[in-house]
Amino acid sequence: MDKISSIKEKYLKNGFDALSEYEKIALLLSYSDGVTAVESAEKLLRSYSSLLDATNSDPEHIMKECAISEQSAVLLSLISQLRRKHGMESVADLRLNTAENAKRYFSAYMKEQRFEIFSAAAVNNRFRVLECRRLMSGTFSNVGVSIRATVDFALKNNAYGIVISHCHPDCTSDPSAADISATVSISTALLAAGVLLIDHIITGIDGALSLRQSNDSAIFPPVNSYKAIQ
Amino acid sequence: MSKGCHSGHRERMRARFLKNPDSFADHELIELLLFYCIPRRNTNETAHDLLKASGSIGGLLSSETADFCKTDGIGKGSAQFLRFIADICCSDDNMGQQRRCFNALSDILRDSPPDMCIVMSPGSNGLIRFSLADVIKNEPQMTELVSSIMRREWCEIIIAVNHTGRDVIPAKEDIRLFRLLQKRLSALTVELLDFLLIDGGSVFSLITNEIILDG
Repeated sequence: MDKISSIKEKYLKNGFDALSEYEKIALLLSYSDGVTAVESAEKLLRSYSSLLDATNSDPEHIMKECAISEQSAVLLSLISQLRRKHGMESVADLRLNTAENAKRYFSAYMKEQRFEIFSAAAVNNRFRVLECRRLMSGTFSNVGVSIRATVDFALKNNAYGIVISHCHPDCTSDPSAADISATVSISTALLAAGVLLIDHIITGIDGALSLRQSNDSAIFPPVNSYKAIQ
Repeated sequence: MSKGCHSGHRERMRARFLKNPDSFADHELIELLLFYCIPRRNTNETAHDLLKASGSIGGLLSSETADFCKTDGIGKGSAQFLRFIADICCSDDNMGQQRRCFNALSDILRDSPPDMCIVMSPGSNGLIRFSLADVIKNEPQMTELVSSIMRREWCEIIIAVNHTGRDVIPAKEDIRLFRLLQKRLSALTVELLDFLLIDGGSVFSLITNEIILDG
């Protein structure tokens, strides 16, 4: 019996928790890489501590650094997306009319995100989410913030306001000087297009932070019905 | 002979997913997932049927192998694949979370005073900073530390002690603090997930090495 067949038999007989991280990765990749799955699993485990750690990584990075096929990189990333969608189901109907709700919403959205992404939620005047979209991806330390993309996204959704968010996957949610400066630029640009920047949520290893709530309300336009203080 | 407009559909779906995964509707994610267990057939309709039967992504992830088989186009092998994916999606990333916590704590401690300690709860807001010497020597400080943890309603915590510039070999004070906190937190049903000594990239876990300490 080959290695994958014996792992599969072990899974069917003893369940998921009986498998080691190596076995989980090898079995998963057997659906995308076939005979090279065992080799690919070994490569991935040299860079990542667990299967889920690998699924939360940038697929482009996985393909390049671990020499994993596009099919496998998509499968790994697909799992991350399914987990996120599942997590988002509990907050899908949340109105982003308070900083606490906005933090809850983006905590679910950014859950276990391994590389930095910059996202925005367009809301109507009742703070219902019209659309939430990833606008930029980066690797670990820098997300290039495209002001134009944010304004285009707001206008496309005919949004009353925008809540932006980005994640610090490997550090705390404390905002950097660059985070604050980018927020000011986005707020100014949105205001020029008649859209309010409602809040900027930063998620980190210690949870989520609302920039408006933390002490930087001066950089946001006033939004009367948005409750920043608990 | 032309392969028609569906030629290259799977490649295009993958390319689109890599470019913007958030643009995928729920049924498109399942359609893409089914590519991995149904090699050639059109999986769009099966994806719709699966979602209709389970109600949502969450419902799908909690379905059993037998439930999947009730959908047309899903055989035993595909059902086992879907159950395996559901198992992965519903599992916890403890190892990844611990690694991220370690990285964050290591960064924070790098520029902190020598006996600075940090308490954090994975996934929760905030950090508690305290001096190891103060807490060991002053009972009120120890009580205040435990109260702070309780006020934040943390059920699981990690404590990190700054060993920057020293080896990550546990000193008597480290072990004493570890024992004191372990006893008090256990009585309050707060789980001490780890107690780490950190020096830049080096770490020593008193939880993992508890047997050595006892020896």
